[in-house]
Amino acid sequence: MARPANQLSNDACPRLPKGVRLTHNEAQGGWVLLAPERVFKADVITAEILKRCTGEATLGAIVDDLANTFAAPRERIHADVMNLLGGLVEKKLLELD
Amino acid sequence: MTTNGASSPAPLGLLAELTHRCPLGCPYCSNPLALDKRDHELDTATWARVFREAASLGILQVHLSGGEPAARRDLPEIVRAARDAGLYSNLITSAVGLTPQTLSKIADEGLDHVQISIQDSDEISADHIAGYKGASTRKRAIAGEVVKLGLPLTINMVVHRANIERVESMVELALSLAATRVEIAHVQYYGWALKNRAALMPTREQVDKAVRQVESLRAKHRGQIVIDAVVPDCYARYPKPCVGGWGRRSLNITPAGRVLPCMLPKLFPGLNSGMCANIRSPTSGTPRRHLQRSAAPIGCMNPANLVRGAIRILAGAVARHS
Repeated sequence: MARPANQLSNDACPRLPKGVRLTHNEAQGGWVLLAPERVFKADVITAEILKRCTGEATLGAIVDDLANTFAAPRERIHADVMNLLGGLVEKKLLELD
Repeated sequence: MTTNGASSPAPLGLLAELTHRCPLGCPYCSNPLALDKRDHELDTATWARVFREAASLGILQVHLSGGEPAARRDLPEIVRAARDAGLYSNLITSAVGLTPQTLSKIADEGLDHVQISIQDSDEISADHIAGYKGASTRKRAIAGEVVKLGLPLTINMVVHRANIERVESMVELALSLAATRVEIAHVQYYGWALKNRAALMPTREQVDKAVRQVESLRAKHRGQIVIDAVVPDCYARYPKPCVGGWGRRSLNITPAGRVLPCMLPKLFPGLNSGMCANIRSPTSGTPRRHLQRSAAPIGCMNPANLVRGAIRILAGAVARHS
């Protein structure tokens, strides 16, 4: 059952819903998020976050993984992830299990 | 098709008008006044080739439209071809003529999204506008099937004088159908809509009120449903930027295979854009070059001039007919 954006807790499992896909396109110059009649350009960081939103990893685990992989401060990553995912949930581009 | 504002090196979308056939008779239809004949429609294999070529240009999404795309018996094969070409597919349908069986088949073939038009929240008015008794019931039933199949659903509401007082209840209807998105598409007065504008065109006060209602509905339903809305050009403060410049953001292919940079040339037959290609033209070389030729020259032109030119034509059309 999908949760609203204000339920972005560490134990939520974010997932791209059916009809929303992250894909890399050479001609478009990078990562793009495809949604119903909409296209969003995604920078490398956004793509790294969204690749991990499989519905199986918790938000907390995703932040940990990113902090380790990119040797960046956990708090900063957490803030960036919350910001990105909150916006996507509101736009119906991401679900929280 | 909307984006997050960044410009792209290649067009993003392809509007594939599979047929001009349709069981409905909406007075604002975006079909041209002269419809392409059924026996001139591109066949399945040609659409499959077009999709492959579009993907190679960098196009990301195809909008399977018409007329009524469900009037094509080969719709499942067409959806499969879009999927095989790596394109994200949107079905733009009235739901009339689309059976639950066909819907299930095209979902299996990998369709990504369904947009269903609804003419009004009031069912009697809705069927009257569509010119088809029972249309409303069919649309609601198929909307339910889309959601059952787990596909995202957009409800498209075409707004004009006959239904503009019911914008709020139309959004409530979209919510009750579990749509993730609703498009409030005010009629644009070209083609059939221009001919029928005496019955369709709302007043400025009606449009302003509708705009305010949409704003408060957006705030009220934030996170529940996405509301995309476009006001009619004739009442906007400034004309909209013209699809980002012809051929930049999207391409339009008619049922008989004309490649157009936007809706404009088919609604203004006398307009010589010099940019139209014909997929079947024997003198135009290999098929791949048809789409490329449409894209490349447009990219070389100063988009600002194209935008200004197009807007003057459109504004002039409404003014001349007033």
